[in-house]
Amino acid sequence: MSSHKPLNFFGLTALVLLGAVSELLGKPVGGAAASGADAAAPKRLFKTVFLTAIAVLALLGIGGLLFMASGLYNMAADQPHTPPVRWMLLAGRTRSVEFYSRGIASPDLSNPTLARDGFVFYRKLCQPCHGGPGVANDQVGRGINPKPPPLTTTAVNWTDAQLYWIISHGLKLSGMPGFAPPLGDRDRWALIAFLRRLPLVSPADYQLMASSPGQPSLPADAPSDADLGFPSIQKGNPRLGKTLISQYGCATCHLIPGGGSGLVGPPLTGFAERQYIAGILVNTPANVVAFITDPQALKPHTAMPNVGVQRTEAIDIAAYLYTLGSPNRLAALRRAGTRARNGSERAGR
Amino acid sequence: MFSARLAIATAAIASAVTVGCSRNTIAAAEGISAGRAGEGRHLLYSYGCGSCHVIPGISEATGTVGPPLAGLANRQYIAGLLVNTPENLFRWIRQPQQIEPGSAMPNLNVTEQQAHDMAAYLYTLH
Repeated sequence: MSSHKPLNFFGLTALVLLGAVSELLGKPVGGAAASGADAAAPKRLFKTVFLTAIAVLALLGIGGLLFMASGLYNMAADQPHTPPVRWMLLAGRTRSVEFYSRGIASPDLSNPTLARDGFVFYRKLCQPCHGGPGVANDQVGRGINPKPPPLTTTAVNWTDAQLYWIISHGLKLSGMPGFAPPLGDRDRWALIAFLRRLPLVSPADYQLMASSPGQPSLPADAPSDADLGFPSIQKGNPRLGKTLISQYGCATCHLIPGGGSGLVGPPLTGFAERQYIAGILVNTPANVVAFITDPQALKPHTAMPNVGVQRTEAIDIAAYLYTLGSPNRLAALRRAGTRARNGSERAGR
Repeated sequence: MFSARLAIATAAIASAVTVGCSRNTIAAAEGISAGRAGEGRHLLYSYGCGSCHVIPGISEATGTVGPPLAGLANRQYIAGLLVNTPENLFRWIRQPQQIEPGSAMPNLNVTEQQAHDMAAYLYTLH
């Protein structure tokens, strides 16, 4: 891992800035041709502004320290941070992880044994705080602030190297511990291999895996592109899908951006980002198409009726729905599905 | 002709009307839920509901695991299976796995009173 420290860089910058400022204060700001009195005026103005700015910053700093010392800021874990403090902590954390995980090379995670072993660690070490699909975290996880996020949707926001760094070292001012002991190097990579497969696991499958210790039933191979339905969806026509949504009256029940605002079922805003559909299926193109064509088969007694949508039409409808919200989750699903064959993370993620 | 007094009076009436509407919404929601919306708002935060659902008015509630809960008060069904009544909402919050095994929504050991309070908040979402 790199031994660069950001402190040196900032220290150097501060020195340079200080030097530049003191030079400016010592010399006239105007050109060499300016007369004495005129040359002094802009320099005085600059000095006043600069000193005022310093004074304001110093007062804010002292004020901040006094505020913290006063005990007025609520540090209860079951109450949220104020938005500015939260932003500061999160931004700092993200930048820090990005900086300190530079130079970590992630290995090939395609070996199916890795993901299976990773699940054993996940269940024992991660599930108590983060929970799993359909499985609650323990009380200890619920009491923590910041809340341990659901890794099904949040692990995709980090690279393998960043996850490795977080898992190894933990995070200050959070409940996330470092697992460098007790987990060895290979074990931590195994955990990450499992985290990449986790979004593809349905809640029912996960509950089965979680209930039978020592016998995880994570399928050896990750689903292929075709299994997930990506080749078909790419041939789908979103514009036609939007028309079909109108023809089939989907918006009489669902709020669909660009379609209408029914109140029978849930809104479909940001549909591409949704992790599950109908509460029980992983949101993949294949599942969406199957659900649209025959919801009763997949979820008996659901309020969503079979209205005779043909498969090709369902593909177009799904193509439209996948224009709603960020495409990042789908891209990550595709990478998770084909990683088993392609090995380690592609560059330029 | 512009008058400061007129402007202030208009603003006062406008805000009274708005606040009055909100108060009625909250009162109605608390009435049908036999719970407290303010407490429900806190519980929805501390149980981490926002980790999975986008919920208007709840801090950090930006989750995309499950559907957004905006407009829940006007929704016809819960979880695609239950008619949206207070009793069904309490049941769903407390025991989703019993109602829909294999649901992504876990059982979180929410107590009866807590479910009433959460529902009281959720029923303000129109």
